Amino acid sequence: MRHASPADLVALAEGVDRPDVRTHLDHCAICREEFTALEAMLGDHARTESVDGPGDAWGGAGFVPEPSPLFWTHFPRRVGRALEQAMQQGPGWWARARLSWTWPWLGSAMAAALILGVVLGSELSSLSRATSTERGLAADAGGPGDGDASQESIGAANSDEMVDSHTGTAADDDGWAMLLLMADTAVWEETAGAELFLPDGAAERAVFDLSLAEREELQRLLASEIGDHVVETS
Amino acid sequence: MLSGAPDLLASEGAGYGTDPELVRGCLAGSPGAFDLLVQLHQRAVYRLCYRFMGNHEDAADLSQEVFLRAHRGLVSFRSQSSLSIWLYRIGVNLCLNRVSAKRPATEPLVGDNASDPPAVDPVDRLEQGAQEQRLRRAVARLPPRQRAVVVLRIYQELPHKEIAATVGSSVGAVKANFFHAMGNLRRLLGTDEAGRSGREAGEDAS
Repeated sequence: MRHASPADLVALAEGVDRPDVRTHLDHCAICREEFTALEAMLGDHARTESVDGPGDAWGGAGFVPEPSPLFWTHFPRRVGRALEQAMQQGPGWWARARLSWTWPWLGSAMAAALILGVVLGSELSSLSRATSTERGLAADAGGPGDGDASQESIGAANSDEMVDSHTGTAADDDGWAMLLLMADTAVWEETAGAELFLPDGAAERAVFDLSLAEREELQRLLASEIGDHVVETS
Repeated sequence: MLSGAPDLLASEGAGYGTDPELVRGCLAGSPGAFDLLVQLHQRAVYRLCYRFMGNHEDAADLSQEVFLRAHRGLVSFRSQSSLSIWLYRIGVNLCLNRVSAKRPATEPLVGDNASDPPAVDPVDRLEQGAQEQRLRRAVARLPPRQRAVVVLRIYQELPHKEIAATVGSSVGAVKANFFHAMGNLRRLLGTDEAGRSGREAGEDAS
């Protein structure tokens, strides 16, 4: 048997004539019980005798004390002043940001940052491991492949000072370290929980959204860190 | 349009016969048009906010915010819905946000700024006040959406269709929310009553 829906029961309790629902209630104890409880909840409180005359507990509970008459006189002026103030201040940086930023843009930027973080994080880790191995091997062999030489060779490939500072020891740079930390500790379920959603394809779109100069910079950064691997960002 | 609003519109002599005309006046920067809009709707908006928040300060603050938001968003007002429903929608959203931010601290209590009705038998008054307080407290403990529907249906006496337009859902969903809200209230009041009886029994025994 199909039970009456909540909407049907509400309609009936509110006085809408529903013979079909009435008939159903005659034969269905479960729905009848639900309806009786609903009706009681609405009716009992509505029928409660008020000491102030006709009234009900619902009305009493919803009673809104009247503010002073001056409140109403001043309220439009209060709103007007607030409006003037808002207009004089103009949109704040956040409002401007909200106007000019669109969520897809923000999503793309975040995706780009995460791509960078994830890729560089993993590649730097492997580079670091490789360097350590090289150092170990060099130390074992007593050859020229010491740590300084290793840094020098990478540094030579990166004439830019910013990149130079990132070579070999990313942890020396706070910004880089933060990026690596983000990439290492990023838990996708948690980012989703924080409402940082990356829709499907956002990462790809993020790369496509980069300007030519930004792509070149990304390519250069990745190439400098990954070394001989080919990096395709376009 | 709220009751009494046409009179005020006419008495102002500003030539705004309808909500859309008033909105057009506001958008055109006609002097006094937005003031008139505020005057027409301030009480209804304030009552809505008060019933959500349970105190004058929050209600006044949120009412002001409703009109600020409305001013910013007048361009997007669609005349398919009434201005009051549109303002209610802004108000409900603001109240739900505020309630969420303040939970679980907000429990409207009788006596907050309340100017009590005329003096009656103190015992009767206490009993009635206690019942109203329990009901009010129970409503305040409902999930925000159910609370919105109860406030709009029982206190603001909006039809389900207008509530649906206000909270942005279907009429069926509103009725279902209302139904579940009543069930929750029944349980909350039952728990409250049982707790009270228990406390009283404990006090009697000690």
